[in-house]
Amino acid sequence: MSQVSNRPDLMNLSFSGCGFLCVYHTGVAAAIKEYAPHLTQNRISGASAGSIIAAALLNGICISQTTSTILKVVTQANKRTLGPVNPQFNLLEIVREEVEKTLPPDAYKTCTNRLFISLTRWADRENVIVSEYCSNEDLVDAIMCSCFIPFYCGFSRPKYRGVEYMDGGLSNNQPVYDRHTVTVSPFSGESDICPPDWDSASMFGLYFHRTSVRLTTRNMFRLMACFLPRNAEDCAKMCLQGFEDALRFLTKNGLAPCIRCLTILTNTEGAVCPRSDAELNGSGNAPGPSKKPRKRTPSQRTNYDSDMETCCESEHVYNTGVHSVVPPLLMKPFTEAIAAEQSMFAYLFSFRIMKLARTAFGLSVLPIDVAVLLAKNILTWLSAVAAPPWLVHKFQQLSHFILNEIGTQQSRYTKFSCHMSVMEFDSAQLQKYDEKDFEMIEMSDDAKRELEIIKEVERKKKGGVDLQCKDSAAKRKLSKHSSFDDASARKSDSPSGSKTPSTSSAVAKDWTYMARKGNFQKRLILFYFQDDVDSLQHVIKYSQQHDAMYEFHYYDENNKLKSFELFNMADPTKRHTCHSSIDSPRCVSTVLEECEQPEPLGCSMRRMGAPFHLSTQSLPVPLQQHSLRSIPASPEPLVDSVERTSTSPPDVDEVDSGLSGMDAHPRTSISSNSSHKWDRQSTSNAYGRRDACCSPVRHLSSTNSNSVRSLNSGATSSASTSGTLVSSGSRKSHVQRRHTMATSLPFNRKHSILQPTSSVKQQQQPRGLPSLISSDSEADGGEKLFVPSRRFRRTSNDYDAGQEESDEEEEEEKQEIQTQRSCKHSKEETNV
Amino acid sequence: MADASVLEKNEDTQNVQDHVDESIYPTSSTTNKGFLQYFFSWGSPNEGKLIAAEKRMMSSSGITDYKSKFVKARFKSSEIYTMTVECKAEDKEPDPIVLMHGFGTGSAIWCNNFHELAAKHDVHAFDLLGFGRSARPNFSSDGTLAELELVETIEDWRKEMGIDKMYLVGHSFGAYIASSYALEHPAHVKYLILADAWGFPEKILPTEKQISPYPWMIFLGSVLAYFNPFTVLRLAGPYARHAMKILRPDMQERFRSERRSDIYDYLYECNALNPTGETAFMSMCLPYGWAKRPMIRRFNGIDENIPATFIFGSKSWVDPGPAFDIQMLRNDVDVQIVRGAGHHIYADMPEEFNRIVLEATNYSPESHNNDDKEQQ
Repeated sequence: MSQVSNRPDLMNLSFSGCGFLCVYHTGVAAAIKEYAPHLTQNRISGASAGSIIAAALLNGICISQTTSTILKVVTQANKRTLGPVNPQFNLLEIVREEVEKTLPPDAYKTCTNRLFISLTRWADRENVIVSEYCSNEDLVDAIMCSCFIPFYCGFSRPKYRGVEYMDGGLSNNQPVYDRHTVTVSPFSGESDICPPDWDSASMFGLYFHRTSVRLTTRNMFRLMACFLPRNAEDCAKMCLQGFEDALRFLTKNGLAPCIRCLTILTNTEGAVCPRSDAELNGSGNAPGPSKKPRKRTPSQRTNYDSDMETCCESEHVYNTGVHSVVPPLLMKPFTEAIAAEQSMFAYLFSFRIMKLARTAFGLSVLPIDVAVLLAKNILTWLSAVAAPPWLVHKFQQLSHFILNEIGTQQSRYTKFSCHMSVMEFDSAQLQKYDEKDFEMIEMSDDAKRELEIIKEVERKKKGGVDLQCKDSAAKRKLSKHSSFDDASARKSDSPSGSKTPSTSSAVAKDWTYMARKGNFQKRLILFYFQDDVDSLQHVIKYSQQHDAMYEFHYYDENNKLKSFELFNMADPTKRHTCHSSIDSPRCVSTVLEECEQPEPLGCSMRRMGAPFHLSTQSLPVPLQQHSLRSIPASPEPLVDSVERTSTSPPDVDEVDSGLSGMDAHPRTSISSNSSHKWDRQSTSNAYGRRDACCSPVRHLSSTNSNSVRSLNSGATSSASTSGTLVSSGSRKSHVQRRHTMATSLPFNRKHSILQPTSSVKQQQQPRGLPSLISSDSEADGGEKLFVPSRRFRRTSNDYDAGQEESDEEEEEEKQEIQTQRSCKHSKEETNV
Repeated sequence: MADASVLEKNEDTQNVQDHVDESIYPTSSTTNKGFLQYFFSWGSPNEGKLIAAEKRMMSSSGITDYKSKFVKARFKSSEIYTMTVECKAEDKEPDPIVLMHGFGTGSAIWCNNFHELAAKHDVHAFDLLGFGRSARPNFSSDGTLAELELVETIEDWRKEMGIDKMYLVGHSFGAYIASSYALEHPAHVKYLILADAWGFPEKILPTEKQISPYPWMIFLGSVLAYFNPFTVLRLAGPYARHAMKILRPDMQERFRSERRSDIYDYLYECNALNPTGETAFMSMCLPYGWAKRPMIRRFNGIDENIPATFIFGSKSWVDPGPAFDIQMLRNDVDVQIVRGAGHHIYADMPEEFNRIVLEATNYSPESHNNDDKEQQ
C-alpha cells in the first residue's frame, strides 16, 4: 500500500473544541510528546478547551499533570448537584487558575505565531484566529475567551484586548492551518486523530463548525459528556483512547514504527511470516479468512514503510480486564467488615428512586445556593457602585446576614459539605491507606494463580486454625475501624501514621512469617514469580524502578483515588522528571501541590500509598533487556541460587520475540545501545525506535527543556550498590517513608509477599535504582494493579486480542526466537 | 464574452436534452404511493430541480457535452439513468471506465472526475436502480436476492450499452455492488477500483475499554438503526435542504457549483423519491450499518486475474483493514490511502483520485509480472 500526498514533516496539529472531553486531547498530546516531539515544534491550533492543551504542548508542560488536573476538575464538577452548571461552580475561574499556575513565565513568547486560538467575536459572531500575545496575561485571556460558552460558563463575558469574545467552537471548532494540518477530535468522524468507533458502521455524519461528528451512539454520548461528564472514569477512558488513537495515527504515518512491523520485516525474508497476517488483521479486527499463515508474494511491496502503515490497531495499549486480586482469603475480613458497614445504605441507594430522591434533594437546595451567590454578587456590586453610605451599609448588612445564616445552617441543609471534605481531601493524606481500596487490587489471571500458590504454601505450613484466628482478629479490628466515616478516619490520623498498628501487625505477621520460611518455599515462590512475567511482583518492581511515560490519576465515584501509568518499555531508563515518582532530588507535582507534606510523600502516588492502576503492556521486554545488560552471560537454568533466577529468568527469554525483529535490523540494535546515553541525535532516528503500537520507544528527553536531569544512571547505580544509608536527600526520604509505611496496614501485607525476592534483589542487583533496595521499599504500593492478563508475548501477535495460536506454531516461534535471541546475545556482548 | 456565448449555446442544447429526459422519465415513483403516504407527503418531488441541479453541477466543473440516456434493464422493465462523457482523443482505448456512486447519491457526484478520467477512455456513470434518477422498482426483501437483482440489472445495462470489458470504479455502497458484480460476471471486469468500500468488514463488537454510553442512548440508537437512514430527510420535506446546509456545510465545499445549494438540491431530490434502493440497502445490512454478508468473506471468490485497487481516505471512518487482508491473499491488489481525504475521496482529493484511477487503467498484468521476475 502507499500513502498519497503524505508529508509528515509539514504536519501541524489542530485540537478541536470539546469541553471536558479535552482529556482526549491530553492522551493524544502525551503520545505525540513521546513519539513525535517534532510535531510540537510546529504550529498548533486549538479551539475552546483544545487551546489549553495546545498551549500546554507548546510550552512543554507535563501532560501527565495536566491530565490529572483536568480529571480533578471533572470530579469537582460532578460533586455538585447539577454538575458543572451549578451556579456555585465557576468552571472558567478554576481553569484560569490552573492555567496561570502551570504556564511558564515566558509562555507568551513561545506561543506567539505558533499557537493559533480560534475565537468568536461576541458582537457579530465572526471567527477570529489570534496568534500574537504580548504577555502571559494576554495569552490566558485568549484561552479563556476561547473556552467561554455563553450561559454554560456564566454570564460575564471575558475580554481579550478589550473585545468581548466567546467560545471559538461556536464559529470554527477545528481551525485548520493548511492541508497538512492533523485534526484531532474526540468525536468519531472524519478527523485524522479521532476514536474509530469500529463497532459502528454508520455512514452518516454531520459537521459541527468544521468538526466532523459521525452519527453513532457513542458520539451521542460524547457530545453530552462534553458538557456533563458522567464521571472521571469515563474521562480517563477517553484519555487512553486518545493515546491509542494518536499512536495509531503516528504509526500509520511512519512517525512511530511498530514492533510488529519489525517482526514482519525479519520474517518476510523467509517468505513466511508467522502470524503477521493476524497482526495486519488486527487493523480491521476482522477474523476473516486468515487463520492460516499467509504467504507474501513478492509482487506485494514489502518495503519497510508499507508494513508499518498497515498496523492500524493497537488493541493492547491498555488493558481493561479488571480483576480482583489478592488471595480471597486475605480479603475476606476486609470485605466483610466493609459489607457490614455499607450493606444497608448501599442497598438503599441501589434503587433508582433513591438516586432520584437524592438529586431532588440536591435541587431543593439550589435556591439557597442561588441566594448565596446573589448575596455575594450584591456585595461586590456595592463596592463598585457609588451609593449613599447608609444604603451601602444596609445592603451590606443584609447580605452578610444571608451569608452568615446560610453558613451556620449549612450543616443542616446539605450533607454534601461532608462529601466535599472527602473529595478535597489532600491526596497526600491518603498515605494512610484506606483498607477499602485493598479489595480493589486488580491483577491478571496469572498473577492470581501465583498468589493462589503462595496461599497454598502458606496453608500447608501453618494450618488453617492459626490463620482463622488471625483473620478474625483482623476482622474485629477492622469493623471497628471502618465504622468511621472514611474521611474522618483518614483525617484523624496524623501524618506519621498512627493507624491501628495492632491490626496491621496481626495481618502482616502471616505474610512475613511465610516469607521467612525455609529455602524450599522461597525457591518455590520465586519459581512461580519468575515463571510469570506479568506477576504482581514484577509489576511493582518495575513501576518503582522506572518512570511512567504517562501517568495520571483521579477520584472515582467512590472517592477512591485511581491512577494509571503507562511505561515505556523500550527505554526504561528514561526519566520523566516532571511527574517522576522515583526518588530524585527533583520531584514536582502540580496536582498535589496543595498537600503540605514534604517531598517524598507528594511526589508520587505510589509513595502516598494510594492505589494505582498499572498498565504494563510489555513488561518482559525491559526486564530482559535489563538482565542482559547487567549479566552478559547466558541465562542459566533455575537452580538454588536465588540470585540467578531472579535476574535472568529463562522464561523471560521467550517473551521477547517482539523485539527480535530488531536483530535483523542493524540500525535498531544500535539504537538499543544508545538508549542509555540520552543521545538525542541517534535516538531520534526513526528506525531506532522499536515498538510503536505496544510501547513507546522514543529516547528523547522530555520536551520540558528546563527540567534538569539530575540523575544519570551511573550515579544511581553507585548510590544503590553502596548498600549503606547514603545521606543524600532522596535516600533519606526513602527511609523516612519506610517508617511511615511500616505502620500502615495493607502495605505490610503486600510487602511481605514480595519480601523474599526483593531482599534477594538487594544483594545481587548490580545497578538497581535507589528506590528498591530495602526489603520493604516495595511497601510503597497500596497499589491497584492493572496487570495485562496475557502472559507471555512471544510474538508480536500476542498484542492482538483474541488470536489463538496452535501449539505447533508456538514451537516454531520459540525456535525462531531462540535463534534470534542467541544472535542478539552475541551482539549485546560485542557491544558491551 | 466569447466564453459566455459558448456557455449559452451549451445551455440551449441541454434544454433540448431536458425535454427528452423528462418525457421518458418513468413515473413509477409516484404511482406506488399509498393513500397515507400521499396524504402526509410534501407533494411530489420536483424532477426539474434535480435535473437542473445536475446540469449546473456538471457544467460548473467544465463538463458540458455529456450525454444522458435511460437504459432498459429486464428487472421489472426498469430504466437505468446513464451519463456518458466520451473521450475526444484519437487514440482512445476500447474499454470504458464505469463509475458507480455510493449510497444516497447519484452519478453527478462524479462531476469533479469525469473530465480527467475521459482523457483516454469513455466514461460512463449510471445511477443504481432505486437511486438517483433511475427507476425505483421494489426489490426483494431478502438481502441476498436484492443484491443479486441489482447485480443483474448492471449486467443488463452492460449488454445494452454494448460494453465488453470495463474498468469498474465504485464508491462506498457502489464498491460493494461492484465487487458483487465482479463475483458474478468476472469476464466483463477488467479492473476493480474500490473507493472507501462499504460492506467489507465483519461486524465488530464493542470492546470493554471504550466508554459505554447511557443505556437510554443505546436504546435510542438501536431503535433508530432500524429506520431507513433518509426517512428524516423525507419527513422534513422542504426544510431538509436547509437542515442539510446546516448539518453538512462540508458538502458545498466538496462539490462546488455555480449555486452553492445545488448539491443539497441534488441530494435531496435523489432521496426524496420512493426509497426502494434504500430499502434494499437496509435489507442487505445489519443494524448500525454492517453488511449481512461481508465482502471480505467472498472477495477471494473473484477471478484471480482481476486486479483490484482499494482507495481509502486517511480521515475516513471506513476501516482499511479488510483491504490489507485481501492484499495478503491475492495478487495484484493495491491499497492506496489518500492523506487528508475523507469518505468522499473523489471530491476531497479529485486530482489524487483521478491519478490513481488512471494509473490503474494503464496497468497491464504482463508488465507487472515482469517486474516481479526482475525482483526475484
